[in-house]
Amino acid sequence: MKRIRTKLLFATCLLAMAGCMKDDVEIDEFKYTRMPNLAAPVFYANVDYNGIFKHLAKNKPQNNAKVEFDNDGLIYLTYKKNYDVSWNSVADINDIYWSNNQLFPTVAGKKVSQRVSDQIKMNADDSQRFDTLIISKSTMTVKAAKLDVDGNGTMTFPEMTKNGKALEVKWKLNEGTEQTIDVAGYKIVPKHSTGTSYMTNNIVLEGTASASSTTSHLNIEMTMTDIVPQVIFGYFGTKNALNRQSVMNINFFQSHEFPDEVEFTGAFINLDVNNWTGTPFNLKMDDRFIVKSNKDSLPVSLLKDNPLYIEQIDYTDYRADGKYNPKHNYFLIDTTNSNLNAILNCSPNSYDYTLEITTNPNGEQSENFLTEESKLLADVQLYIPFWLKITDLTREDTIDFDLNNIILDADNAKYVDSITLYFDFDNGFPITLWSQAYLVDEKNMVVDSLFNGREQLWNTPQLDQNKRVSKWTATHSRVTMDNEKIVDCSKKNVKKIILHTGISTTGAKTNQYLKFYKEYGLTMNLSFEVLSKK
Amino acid sequence: MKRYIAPLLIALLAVNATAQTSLSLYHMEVIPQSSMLNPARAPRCNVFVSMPCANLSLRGETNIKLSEMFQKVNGQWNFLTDNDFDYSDINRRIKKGTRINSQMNIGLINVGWRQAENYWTVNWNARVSSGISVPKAFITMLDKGLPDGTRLDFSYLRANMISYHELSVGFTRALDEQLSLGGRLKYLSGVFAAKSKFSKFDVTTSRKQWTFDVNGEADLSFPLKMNPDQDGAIAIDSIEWKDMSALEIVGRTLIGLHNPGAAIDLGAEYKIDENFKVSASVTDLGFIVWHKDATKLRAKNKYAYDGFEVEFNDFFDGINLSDRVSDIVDSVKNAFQSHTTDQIFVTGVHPNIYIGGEYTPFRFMSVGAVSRTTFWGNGVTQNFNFSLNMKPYSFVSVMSSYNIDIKGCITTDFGFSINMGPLQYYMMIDGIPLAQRRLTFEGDRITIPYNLCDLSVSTGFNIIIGAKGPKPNFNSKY
Repeated sequence: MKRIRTKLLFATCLLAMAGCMKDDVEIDEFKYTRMPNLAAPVFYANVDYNGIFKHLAKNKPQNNAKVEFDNDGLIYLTYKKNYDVSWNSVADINDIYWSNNQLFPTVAGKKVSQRVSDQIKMNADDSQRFDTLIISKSTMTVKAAKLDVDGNGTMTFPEMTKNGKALEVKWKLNEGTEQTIDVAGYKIVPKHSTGTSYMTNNIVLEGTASASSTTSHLNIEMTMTDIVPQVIFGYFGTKNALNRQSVMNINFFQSHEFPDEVEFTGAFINLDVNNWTGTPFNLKMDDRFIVKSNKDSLPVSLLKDNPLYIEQIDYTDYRADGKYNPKHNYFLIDTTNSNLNAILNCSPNSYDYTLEITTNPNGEQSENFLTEESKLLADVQLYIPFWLKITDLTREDTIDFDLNNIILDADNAKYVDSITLYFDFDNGFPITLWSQAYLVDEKNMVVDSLFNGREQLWNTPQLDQNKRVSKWTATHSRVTMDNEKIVDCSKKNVKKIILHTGISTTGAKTNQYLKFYKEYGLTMNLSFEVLSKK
Repeated sequence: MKRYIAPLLIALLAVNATAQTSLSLYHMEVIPQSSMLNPARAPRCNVFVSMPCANLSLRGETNIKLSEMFQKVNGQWNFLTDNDFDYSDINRRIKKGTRINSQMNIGLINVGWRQAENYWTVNWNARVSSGISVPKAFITMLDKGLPDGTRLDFSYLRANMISYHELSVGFTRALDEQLSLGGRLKYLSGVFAAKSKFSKFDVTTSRKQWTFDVNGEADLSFPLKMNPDQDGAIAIDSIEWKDMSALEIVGRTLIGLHNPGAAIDLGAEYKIDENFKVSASVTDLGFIVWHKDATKLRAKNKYAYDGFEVEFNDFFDGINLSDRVSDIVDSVKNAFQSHTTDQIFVTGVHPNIYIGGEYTPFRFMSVGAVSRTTFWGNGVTQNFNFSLNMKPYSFVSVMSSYNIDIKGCITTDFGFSINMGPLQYYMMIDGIPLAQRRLTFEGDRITIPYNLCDLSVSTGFNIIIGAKGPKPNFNSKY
């Protein structure tokens, strides 16, 4: 029995060890030869005018440029500067200062009486004449030194009235005075002499000198400051209300110098003026020129002179709310009266000009007037429409495409059945695009190409009779690299794709310029499919 | 440093160890731990005490064999990544996906003693159970790639793990000469848990669009710190471990009583005649209610990839591909962004059903058969074991058996115990990977277990008092 037990023990152990060593598995090298089937989108893009302008302005923030549309939807890039001429640039109403420090003789204990009359000039510029001034805001300050006289002083301004009553300032002589008077609402009707508009100031001093009184000086002052007219009538002379040299940076061209293949048309400069004053103006743009990036100066040659006469508003022609509609005039510099088109196609990067505004260019022909709200606004506006022609504008891009790296090993090329690239475009631009892609090795030697010749990737969309896109056009292109081509490219160690593309606007060959409207756009999708060979 | 301690402990506990208890232990009654498989089968000794922390059971199980990853075609060996590899066998056999499950049991204290016709056991075990399910979609991806018009279902993807302490009292009683019944009541104390599932996880691929449609949730009981963004969304990579002191970590890992649970083992053994008996048991029928740091993460998102967006600028400036890929990865990650709520949850503890029979023709030898059905969180496994049990000498017991997985894995088991006085050492290995191959891989030669799919190891030391003769017969009241 013991023998049986021992044998069974061994049998049990042998049974446990009865596993068999199978054939060796020999894998010389870990390989990933199972090329996956794979289909995936790569990228998509929606291009519209926003994206284009964002690109054009990416290096130079367009702080003074805007994208605008006309009523028809045509896209404009606009550069604008405005100039403001307020009433105080037209009429010189300065602060008024008057003083008198003459001797004031007194005898102790005797009666004293002195009268002083003087003129206070109101016009700072002799060429200007003020006929009537109604004050909106101003304060008058009257100061008089103390005298040893028991009596009163009176200062009267007969041309300065309110409700028919002249302004009168009184004080006690033995106390002196310093009074501040709000003169808003007072009307001044100055008197005139040559080159002067003035009001009179009459002073009366009466009283009894004190026992110790001796002769002294009057020491009286009057000031009127911060005068704002509610309305002022007169004649404000012929003067430069504005003379400004300006530079308008055209960063549209600074950030992107367009090659000769891109030609713009239809640009114009609009000088737009609105006059809310009762004064006529002449406005002139001088020394205008366009400066190219190489510092060349290209003057704008105008076919006619440009002084612009702006009429004055009529005092009685106010609206129901008491305000005035401005008198408007404008001056247009465009392709019909200048060489602007030629200059803009030289990719200028700034527009330099001097703006000169002159009052009463024809002398005194009627009475001028100004109100507190009178102003003149001048806008200088440069409009560059997206109205252009592109004639076979080409570019070349290099894309890394290390085929053997993508398929992990050159030997794996035989397992790839095909690689197909899909280009799906929906084109709403009046542009056609062709492309050719060359597969090149590390020495940039062309090994093969993806397309048979130039492949038209964007077909031109349908245009209406106004040459405006009426229907977007879808183009679906695919290019397949079959196994034979993949193996060949792998052997020849393709490293890059050199992509040639060229675009043209529709009708460019017939010198047709096309307008780009805000609804134009383009969608594109690139996807691929890899099929493996089993 | 302490921030790494908790994950390290968890990793150690959750390592892909293998099975909880060797199936072939079922008929090795000389080893007291066999009663853990059926509480009606009392150990063949009057008293036993396990060496503290010296009893370990591990089980690892998967439904994909290493042998399935290699194929010999035309005399050439191919791996999964080779073009000539034929996936049809794998595709035919694997329905939803593959899984890797593991269980570990550390016997901290196991004590048993006979009292008249009863047998009592008291056990304190630390247990870890984990499972990962990998959807078949991954295999499909490897096989077919992602061609136009593919729809892949990843909803089978899940990861579950629980670790807990088990305090139990077992009782076995021979009702008569033929029938013995036993039971074990267990108090469970959860330490850590993670349970995840997707009701939807679809990925579709086409030339024009890829879509990700995710609807899933995870229950966690871990010391984690969620870092929601202003919208309350939680990115997976923003989750951090809570700062815990070493004392807190040890306290929670070893003696924490935050997550209570209960389980029961029930068993019966019926002696048909002197030589033949049958038995059955249900073990680990229970649950744990998780309170401590209980968090539910819910992700319900859709993401569509149409290609990366290119702006007009990019045609002139070039495209930074790494940035774009990073954007896409971020977007895909956003599809898994979750929202969290504090919510208690319940997990089961992976119950087993054992049905066995044993025939004893000689006092020193028996043959046995046993079936085990294990209910994992991600599926059910079924094993059959046919064993030859020998006790050729009074101090040695040897077992050898065949183990058959219903999925087709056939493995050999081997076990033994040696008594050196009162000290007993035992080791049981189920699923010995006897079918082996030498793999020569890029010049290095290694031996690989070729058909390994279910491996269990149980080993430990016991002090046995009152061990009786070679023939187990609890009913004989020896």
